[in-house]
Amino acid sequence: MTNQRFGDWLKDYQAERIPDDMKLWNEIEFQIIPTRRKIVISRVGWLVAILMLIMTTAGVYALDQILNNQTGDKGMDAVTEQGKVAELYITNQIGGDYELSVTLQTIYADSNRVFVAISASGTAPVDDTISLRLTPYIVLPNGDELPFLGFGGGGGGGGSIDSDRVPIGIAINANFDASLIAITEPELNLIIRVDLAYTKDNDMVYPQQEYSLGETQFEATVPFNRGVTLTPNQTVMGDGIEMRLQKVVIAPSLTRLELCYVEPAQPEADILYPNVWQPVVSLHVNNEAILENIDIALSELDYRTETGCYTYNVTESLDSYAGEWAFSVDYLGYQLIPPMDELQQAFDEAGLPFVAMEGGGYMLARSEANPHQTREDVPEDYEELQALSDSAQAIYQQWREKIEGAWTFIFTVPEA
Amino acid sequence: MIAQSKEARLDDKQAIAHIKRKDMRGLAHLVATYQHQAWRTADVITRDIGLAKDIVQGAFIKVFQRIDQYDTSRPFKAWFIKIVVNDAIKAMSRHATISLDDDQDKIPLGEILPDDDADPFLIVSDAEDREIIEKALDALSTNLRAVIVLKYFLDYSEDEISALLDEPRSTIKGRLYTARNRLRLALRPLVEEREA
Repeated sequence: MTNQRFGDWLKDYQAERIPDDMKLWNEIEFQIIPTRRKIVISRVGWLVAILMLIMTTAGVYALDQILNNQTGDKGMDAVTEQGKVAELYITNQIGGDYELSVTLQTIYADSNRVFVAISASGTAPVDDTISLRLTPYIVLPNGDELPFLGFGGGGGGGGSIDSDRVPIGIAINANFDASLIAITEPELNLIIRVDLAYTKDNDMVYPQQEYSLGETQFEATVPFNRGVTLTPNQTVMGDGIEMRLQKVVIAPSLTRLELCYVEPAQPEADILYPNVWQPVVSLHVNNEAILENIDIALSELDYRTETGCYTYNVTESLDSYAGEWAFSVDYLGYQLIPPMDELQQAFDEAGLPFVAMEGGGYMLARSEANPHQTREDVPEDYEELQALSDSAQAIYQQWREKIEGAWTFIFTVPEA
Repeated sequence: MIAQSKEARLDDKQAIAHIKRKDMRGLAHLVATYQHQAWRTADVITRDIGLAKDIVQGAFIKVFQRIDQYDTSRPFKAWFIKIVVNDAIKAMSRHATISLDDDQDKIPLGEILPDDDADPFLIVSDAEDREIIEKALDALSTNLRAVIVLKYFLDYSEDEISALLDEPRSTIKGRLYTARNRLRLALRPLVEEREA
């Protein structure tokens, strides 16, 4: 065997260890906060959702990050429990080769967002390995399209094989910015348009080609939960920084705040990962603590507007709290990138099963026996995993620079 | 009838322009183009498919996050492979039980076999020797596997390896020499068995 032959042997050997059909795209895509309108389906489990939660490096704490994770969206949880989500379950037949039908399952609308849950199902030949893609749009009667905020969801193929065809399907939750809606009526007319397409699982071309399966449309009249809009327009000085709370929109599923301030200079510690100063806030209503030290989420749509104001979103249901609000930006935090070794040491000392990554990310530790699985001591229970993730996040935030305020705004919120 | 969407194939420059606009299609193109070469490269260095996968995924994410640091006048592949190789070496410095220190790999002079055109594999035949070569690769240090993969898997010259690893050419040449001899030593029992 010559050097050339060794090179050939090594290439063949590596191609055998890592065949061409082993692909990385889906996992990479999940690790980057998606900001575009795209529905990712197929085999999304809770573990993946958790990985999405914890593997994001510094970055902007973005609203769609919460919405995509399907976790931490307490506002939608609350309005669901309150029975405010309309259950429609209207099905439109698409037909075609895949015998498709699309169902508008549930919908919810308030002054800050419109939420829809939509599914599509059909059948495909056993040998036809495809993934469905579903893209919803929401249009007002005047023709305005609501901006897309983010989505969650999953689904994909599967089902028992009892013939030469197998069931295929997709289910997604999509959120849209409702600030365009300017009505006083208790009901809202909406047009929900759905584009349906598929990709071939074996398609080696990236991005995978999407093959249109057509579109369908629903018209729905849904309750509109208008919420309360306030314009405190208060200015507070803290640590040499002037901050103005310009507007507050309190809706059942989400509260939006417009904060105006000149962002402080960014630390020069790590220019590779530019970040933003993140407000960490608390809320007391009639002297009762409602929120304490939470990060509030920037909306991608409104980030750094020309007015110098930032629109932040609190994904909690706060509309039931009337009275004197003391909304406080406790501090501005700037997340630095922890040195990998130091972060790992902190995880190890805390007994947390995470592996620090270069560049500031971290992930669940892998099994020594099977590197494609998480380590044996990583719990499968979602709540336990979430608790571990919270602990890891607290450690991660030790590398956070702070500008202490506090900037406290006091205003009265009337009964909704 | 199914209508097929038309998506033009990108080249690397177009892909990078997409990434600068935070358009994921650009990254998707680069992943499709370089994922296997990068993954296999990291795997030779780490000898751990799962760890190599994490490294390459992380490298692609870095590309997405740090694209402004990329000098567009230079080939993307070299920049990307440099990230992958360096990250693999760093990862092994935390995970590996084998020392990174090249001194660990220095072979006593008396054990160095004749350098037959610097070819460690002249003495073995073919696929049946796979297990022996695997063990020999496992026994090499991370730094030696790095030069082996760059030289024999990616076909880089010593000058290119030197630039990629930010090491003097003489160091690279020494590591390649050491790596080849280590492999040849590992293969010697096989040769002796065959000669017997």
